[in-house]
Amino acid sequence: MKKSAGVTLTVVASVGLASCGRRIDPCEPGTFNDLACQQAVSSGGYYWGGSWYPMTYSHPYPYYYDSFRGYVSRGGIVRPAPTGRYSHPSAGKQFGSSSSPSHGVERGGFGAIGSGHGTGA
Amino acid sequence: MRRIAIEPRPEWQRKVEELGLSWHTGDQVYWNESACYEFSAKEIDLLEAATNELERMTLQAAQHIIDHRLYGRMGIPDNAIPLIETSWEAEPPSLYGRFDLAYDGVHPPKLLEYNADTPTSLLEAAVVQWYWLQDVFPKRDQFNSIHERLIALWKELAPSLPGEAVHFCSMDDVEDGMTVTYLEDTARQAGLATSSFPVGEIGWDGRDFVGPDNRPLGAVFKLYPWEWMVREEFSRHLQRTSTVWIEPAWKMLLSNKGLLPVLWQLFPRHPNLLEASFDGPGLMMSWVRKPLLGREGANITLHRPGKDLETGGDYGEEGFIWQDLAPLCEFDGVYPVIGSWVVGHEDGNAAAGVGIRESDMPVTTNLSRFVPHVFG
Repeated sequence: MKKSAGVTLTVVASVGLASCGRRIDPCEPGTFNDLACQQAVSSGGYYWGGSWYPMTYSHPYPYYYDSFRGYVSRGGIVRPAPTGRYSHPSAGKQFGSSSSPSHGVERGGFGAIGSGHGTGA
Repeated sequence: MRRIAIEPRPEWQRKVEELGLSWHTGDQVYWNESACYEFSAKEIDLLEAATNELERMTLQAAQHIIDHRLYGRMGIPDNAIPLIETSWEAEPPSLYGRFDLAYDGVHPPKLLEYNADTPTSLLEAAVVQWYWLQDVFPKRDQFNSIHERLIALWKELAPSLPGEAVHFCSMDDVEDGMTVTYLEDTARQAGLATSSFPVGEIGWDGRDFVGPDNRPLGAVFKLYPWEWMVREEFSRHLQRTSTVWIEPAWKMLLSNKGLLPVLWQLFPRHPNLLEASFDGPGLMMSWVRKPLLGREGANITLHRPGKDLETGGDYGEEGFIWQDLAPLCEFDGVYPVIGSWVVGHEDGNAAAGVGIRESDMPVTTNLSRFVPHVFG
């Protein structure tokens, strides 16, 4: 039996969406990004790819966090954007890097070597 | 085995993009359907049998490397050894790999290398060439059950994945994104909960590796080589956590080019192997020198009497191996390499399908083109 019985896909088309730079709200449950959402709510918007997008968030941050948790508990899929996409354009580095831990969490401890190479094999 | 020139499908770019292959053309075409390779059923049986045989041999080689502590010879750092040995004993989930084979339809397939840890070109092999077959040769066959084998294996692995969930990580680039998004798709179709994010977003909260939402990571599929992970800042936490990594750390032994001389030592003159050595070319007349930890055809030296070909790159610090030059056959002026996929490790039943990449020179690089195949 060499032949595939059938090939169906559900999410691969999202690769195309991600690569064409669709703006992603950090407070949406399906794309929730904890730190970026907190900053977006307190600032009334967020940077995306270096551009500022004003937003009206009608609830305080915990509302969005609770929505996210409820979404996950119902089996929702979370697909956050890379944190660096929300960086202020003048920021020298992405927030969330290892030198600026948030909530006691260090980040950036994997990926340094790969940033200068292709992982393909 | 033969190479056939054919007419590409109208709007093939849109068709492959709809399947998620967003990177089909760079400076030159990457997905090339202006040709295909045709095999006989007997040739496919031969490739399948060779792949299953190589899978069995590489597992024996891994045990040999551990038993004889050949880590230094393979450029594996000390901090990786307990990770390798613990994972080898515990047998955590392992998903897939790709043997690269020289094959011309005449001589036995010869192992060039084993991409056991972070193989790519998966979406093309599993999905895109399958849909191409339905459009172009709907009544013919293809050696390709990769997709359903992946879904079946995820289902089998589900009980060993914390929360029946798996998180997918890679570098934030298109090619790696295609591979992990496709694998995430197969995991979801198997009923697993999933998320995906760049490997740089993995966090450490003092007790656990955590995702972008600061929740502990139970199981992580990482399209990021172990040889890099064990040399990076977070390597110091790897032994302290219960995170299940896919592929497991023992795959470091098989993705290392040092596997090739070990195999030759264990199975000398095996028809699917090429002579290989840690110590230089010896009596080999024509040989290839490969970095132990090289990728994408970088830092390869291909030697024939009176003629050397070298590729650039910045690998080789950990050392090299020498391998006899394979009889890489030329088809219409290009050199194909068979990527033969294994899914899982079931003895005698791991081979899952093939994808073919061809190059203008006898070294496969990140510019080599994917060409579909058909048989029967």
